[in-house]
Amino acid sequence: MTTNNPRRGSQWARSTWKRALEGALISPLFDDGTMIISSDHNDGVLLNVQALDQEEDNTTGKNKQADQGLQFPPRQSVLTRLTALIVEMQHASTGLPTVIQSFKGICDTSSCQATCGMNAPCAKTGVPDAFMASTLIQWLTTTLDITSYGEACHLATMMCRMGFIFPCTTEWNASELSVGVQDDNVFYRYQTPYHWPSENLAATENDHACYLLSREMNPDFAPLDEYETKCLAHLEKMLSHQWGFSNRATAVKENLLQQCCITDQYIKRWQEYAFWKINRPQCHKRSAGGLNTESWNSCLRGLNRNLPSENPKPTVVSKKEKKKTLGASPSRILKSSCTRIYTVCTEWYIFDPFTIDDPMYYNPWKSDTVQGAWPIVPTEESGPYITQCKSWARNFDILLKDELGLNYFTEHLKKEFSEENLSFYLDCVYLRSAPQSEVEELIKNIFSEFISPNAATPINIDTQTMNQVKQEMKKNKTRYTFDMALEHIYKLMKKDSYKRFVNSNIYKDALANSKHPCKPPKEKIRLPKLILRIWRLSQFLPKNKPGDADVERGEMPTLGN
Amino acid sequence: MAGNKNASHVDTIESLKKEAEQLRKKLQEDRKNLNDAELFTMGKKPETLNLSFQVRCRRILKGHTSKVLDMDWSLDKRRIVSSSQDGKILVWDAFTTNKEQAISLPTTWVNACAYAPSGGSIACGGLDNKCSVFPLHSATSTSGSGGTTSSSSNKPAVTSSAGQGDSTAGTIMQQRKVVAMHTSYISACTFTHSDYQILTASGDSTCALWDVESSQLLQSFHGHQSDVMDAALSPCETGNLFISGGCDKTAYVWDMRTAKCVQSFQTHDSDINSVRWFPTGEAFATGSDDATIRMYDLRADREIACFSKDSVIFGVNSIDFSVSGRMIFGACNDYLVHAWDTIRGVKLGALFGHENRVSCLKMSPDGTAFCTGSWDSTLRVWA
Repeated sequence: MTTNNPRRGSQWARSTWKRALEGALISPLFDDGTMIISSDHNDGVLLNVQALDQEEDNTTGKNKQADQGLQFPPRQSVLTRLTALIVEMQHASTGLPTVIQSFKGICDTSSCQATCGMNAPCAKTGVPDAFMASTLIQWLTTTLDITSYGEACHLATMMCRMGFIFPCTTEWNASELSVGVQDDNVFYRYQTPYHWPSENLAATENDHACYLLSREMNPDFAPLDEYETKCLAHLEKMLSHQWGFSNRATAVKENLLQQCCITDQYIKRWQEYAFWKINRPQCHKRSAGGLNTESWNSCLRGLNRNLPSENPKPTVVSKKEKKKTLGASPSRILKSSCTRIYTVCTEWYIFDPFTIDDPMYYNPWKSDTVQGAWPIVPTEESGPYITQCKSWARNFDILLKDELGLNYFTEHLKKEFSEENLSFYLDCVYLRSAPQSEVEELIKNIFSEFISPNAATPINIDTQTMNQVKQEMKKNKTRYTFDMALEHIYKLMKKDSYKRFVNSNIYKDALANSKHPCKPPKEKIRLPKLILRIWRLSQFLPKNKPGDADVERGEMPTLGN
Repeated sequence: MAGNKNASHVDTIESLKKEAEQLRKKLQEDRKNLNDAELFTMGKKPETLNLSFQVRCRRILKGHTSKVLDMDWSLDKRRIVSSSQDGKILVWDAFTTNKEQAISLPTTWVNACAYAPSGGSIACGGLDNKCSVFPLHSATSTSGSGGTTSSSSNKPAVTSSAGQGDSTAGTIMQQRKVVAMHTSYISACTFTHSDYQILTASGDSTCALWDVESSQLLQSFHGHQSDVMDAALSPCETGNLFISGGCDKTAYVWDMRTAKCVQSFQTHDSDINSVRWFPTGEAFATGSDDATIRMYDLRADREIACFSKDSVIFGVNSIDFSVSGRMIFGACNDYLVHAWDTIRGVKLGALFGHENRVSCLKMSPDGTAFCTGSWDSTLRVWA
């Protein structure tokens, strides 16, 4: 393994940290008043894991857990796509149609004119650029070709959680939000690009303090929540040395805001409110889960991403050989590959539980009861399951991995007097992933049993392969020594024995005796008539319909899927 | 003068980089025009079976107190091991939703966990840069591959507290065996075809093959330019290949014998989070942060399908095929699991249920169900 790279931990520029954080598993907490990691903090950065928050406030456990996902910055590629979507939404002709949110007394003409300085009479009767959830969902469904209402609602919810749109109401929090559900009277708005998560606005504690102070000054807009009051008190303690500065900054900010016209004030206040709702900061430091910061440096994902790597790019082997065998044109090879995949997908559906069309097929996970519903392991006496048996005929590898199938195959090989092939195959496969300490002995055993001239059960390989194996054995005895012979035997079995097995009586008998799991065996047990009658009557009792959401299992009813 | 030379030197590099990027884009466009999803045109044939998508959540496994990061099925098709950010590893009987065993690691963020083929031990690794193997109490030996002798490497459980309940920190840590040591976090680990070898992928941009008994490094694979996020072993028992995908947007195909990279594919626009083989081992698919799933074929040596939709915006964390390869399931960061039809390229539907990012998804060994783990600390089994 490579030794510690010197570049780590000593030359961190601010931008590198930011890029690392954008894909990081953790996010920084406020560190002495600034969330921005400056280049002073090289090895001593206090990065804290978002551990389960015990003390932040007395919210329910569900809230705490759900909030945590939001503290983790989403990857930049998602944000790029979302911003592109938002921009598309705001397009004049093909975008989302907006409405005017009207209030009483929102626009008193005289005062409005004074502030916005327009001479023409004000046409505003409300605050423009709002939209309803239903319009949004409708637009998303048509533009993005979404097939289910639930998915469109979910996408809208995610956009809101990321902080690109927000509802103009105080009755929401980031974790329990659900757009399109019970919000017929709520207006939604766009967040200003300044506050978009893609802009990486590194809010400082001072910003937070100013915001809370201005909220305190305007209780009519939205009174401070309990956690916000606590936060404010905590901030006052932490920033006591500059609290006067914060107060003044707040006053300046309020002043500037008052100078805007009323509709703009309204919009700005709501945007700020939404921003801080989504980016609810934590006010306490946590311990870093038992690891020192040095190892944190190495754990940030994608750290190497934008830095020149020490590893040379691997030289892809055998490209020249490929060109030689490339007699067929690339499009022909592509076609044959696609055909192969297509064939597999279409032929294997008969034993794929997700595509099976058989009403008798029993999937234990779909059963209503748990007790005794797990199908018993099939043995040779009980016979294999139908899907299992069919799969043996489709692919040799599947047969080789199935223990029951191997039993039948061995029987067949015994009749053909070629069972040593299978034994050799199995032993070699075991050798390839055997513990290192056993390798030498296994090689000896395999050689003496199958390959040496005095072998008890010699396998049928041609002289060329035999010579190759002997050469390998002389050179270097590794677990891959017998690979040539293994491949040869594998192909031999596949071409000959396997094909004959699939058409053999042994297999056909097995298939005939196979059954669906949990179906009663062919020899019916005779139940007394009374019990049979009771069982038949029980079939008429009401059962859960497949479409109903099983609330006990905690399933969410899908929104009109 | 030297300064000028340097400046022009940097300029030429910049312009060359731009030119290379332009050429790459042109190549991509040309490629698109060339094959235009040959696979999908085949899928549109009228005789192709239509799929009905009726998957529901069948079980919810609650027990973790923090984000679930990884999970794996046992070969007995009903047991699951899952690891989470709080350092706990839980072994479940997914069918009855009972917890069978719990192991507490001193480190948080256990990124990867794997079940041994015999069902007798589990491997896990994460931010501690190590991959460790723990024996399980009730070693449920399943129908393993023929020829496995009784495992000598699995130390028998010292404390025989039957079945359920926490293993006390002292005893389970004594039985722990540290197998792999990397210089950065472990992002994925898997047993090869037996209990005795482990393949790991790490954030130090290498993959490595280890012998469990001796903790010896058998082979290491260098070549990625950035963190490796996932590795998967070929399903063919005679195959020597495995694939890895990383944050350098590239997927490499490696030969385990020679430790050389055999093929490389780079068509994603962002980190590859997950790689999985097609059931026959001739092709594989990768899920990435650019919200697409792409399928590559080994023989054709190129991308043969891209599953993407405008409405799927969030990155794909984990993917898996159904047993026939007809369906691909992708676990996304928008809390949903999206299902695609492989040969038609259409999205079949989305599964709701999780309340936070879905971090891992795996199909059960016989394909009857798949399990997802999420940052909302639950696992769900769907069928």
